Amino acid sequence: MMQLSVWPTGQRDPLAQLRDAGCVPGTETDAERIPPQVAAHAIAAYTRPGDLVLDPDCGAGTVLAEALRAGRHALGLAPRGRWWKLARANVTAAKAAGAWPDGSVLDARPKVLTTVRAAGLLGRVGLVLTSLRTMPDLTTAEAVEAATAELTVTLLHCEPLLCSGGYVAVVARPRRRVDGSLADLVTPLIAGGASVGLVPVERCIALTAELRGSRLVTRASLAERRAAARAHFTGIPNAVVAHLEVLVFQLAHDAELAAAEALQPAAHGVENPGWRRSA
Amino acid sequence: MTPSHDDESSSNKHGAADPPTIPISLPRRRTKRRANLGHRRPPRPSTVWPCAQDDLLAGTGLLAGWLLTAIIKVVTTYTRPGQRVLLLEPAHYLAPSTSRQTRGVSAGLLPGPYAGLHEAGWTVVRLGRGVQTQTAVADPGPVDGQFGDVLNESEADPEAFALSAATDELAGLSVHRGARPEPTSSTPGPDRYDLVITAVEPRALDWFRPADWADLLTSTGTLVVITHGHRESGRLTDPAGSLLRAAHRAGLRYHDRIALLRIPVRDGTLAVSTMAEPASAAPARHLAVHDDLLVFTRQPEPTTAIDGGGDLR
Repeated sequence: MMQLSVWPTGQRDPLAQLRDAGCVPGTETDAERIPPQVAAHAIAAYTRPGDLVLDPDCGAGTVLAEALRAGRHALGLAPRGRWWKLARANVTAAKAAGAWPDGSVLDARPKVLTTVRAAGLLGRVGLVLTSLRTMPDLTTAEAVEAATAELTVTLLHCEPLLCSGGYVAVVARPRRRVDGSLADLVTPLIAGGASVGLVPVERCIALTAELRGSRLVTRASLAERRAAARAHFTGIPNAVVAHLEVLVFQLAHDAELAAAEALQPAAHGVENPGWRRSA
Repeated sequence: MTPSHDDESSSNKHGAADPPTIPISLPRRRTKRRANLGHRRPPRPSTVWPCAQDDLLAGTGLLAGWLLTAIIKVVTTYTRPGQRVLLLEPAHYLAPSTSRQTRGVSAGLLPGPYAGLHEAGWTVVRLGRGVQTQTAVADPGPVDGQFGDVLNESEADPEAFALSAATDELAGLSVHRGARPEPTSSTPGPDRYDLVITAVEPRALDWFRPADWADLLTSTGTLVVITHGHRESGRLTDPAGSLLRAAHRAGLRYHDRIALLRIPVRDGTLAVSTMAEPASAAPARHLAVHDDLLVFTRQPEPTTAIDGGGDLR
């Protein structure tokens, strides 16, 4: 099936997605989690069964749970201690539901990935999937810079762990500043990835709104609806958020290799396996 | 047991002096909708717009159906009837493809996905907005310069446009050539617009001059730019960063980024034709089915960061 740059990942409401994924109660308190359907789509698109998925800032562990459910090994770091128990509980719940791969959650910062403790992970990670976490809030230009700088450092620690053909996917929710303008997250994220040797290969739209019939039904919160109404009466309407930004990176040589592979037609109907990873 | 009306015992219970039975008025279902108090539900645009829902018949025009739908949504979202809209199209989108071999012009002169933006003028007029179309040009640069310093514009308000539509004289409306668009803050009021719509190819940003267009906007005006990411040698180029910097230098505020779906939504799924693009053996790459709509507004207060004129050059 053809993969599209717009992911239909909003067919279920957020809480229903957590229930479907078998996440433990309390997971919904992680407001900046990657929705399970988004994580599932990214994992299916960029990894194969048996690959290792890493979330260096896993929050409540939705990425880990989806990776395990999809037959991928999962490793998460919980630098913010409050999430470690929830992430660990979600991993346990996924394994109790029958997931066979290995799943681990470390109560550590991403810097641990550059130490000898992570030596066994070098060149073995098929997908780094994480979200741009903006604590406590993303309302000023300084907050944007701080959040993207922190994520850049995290990617710097993750880059050596990527296997050949591996991917880095960053999920970011569009945010507004206090003055009503939209914070540009894509440009600093691309710049941050480039600074650590990663090149952007894709920018996708992960829907949080539902495709119903021939319409798109948003799931705006009351605060968002009120803000949109205020903006309308004061001038220009604000768009209600209906998607998450997904930026996908690769190592430079992998991106060029992938482009070259794309130009070569498959001979005799046999798919060229050159890009496949051996991980 | 169902009582019978002929039952004598039951009929004796009611004396002659009993008042007649009066039916009790039960609460009836409300048949009228709540009175409209004059409040219209404000439009609530989302960050994703399906723009390919209508199966428009392919005509002789260049304008893509999804792009026309997007322009309609933009106009109805950011303007009210009676306001003025400027459709701004780069000149090189109009270049004939045959000129490529004769003049040695790069492939960038071929009509791009945003060709035919001016054709939306009639539709904008039917929406009750005044419209002006303008063809902007870039400095010659890598091109041979034949389009340099050429401006072709035509203007119409709804009434005039309706008259001209009846006589099919669109091409006869005020046409000026040989002048670069030079909007300044001293431009009188009627030459200001509530909405400026343009489209930018990521490989041809040199003509994007928001500093010129910012002065064309009214105090509550909106500049809308349609663009898309470009992939070359496996590397994604997102033009939004360059466009945002130029717009910021021009004193414009980044208001929204909206994804325009180029494929329809049918039965709750994204309906894509399997013939849209042949499947390749490439690694995981998603077929791009969306473009980006960047929305800029005038800064509410004067900015001090106006330097360099906002050009990308």
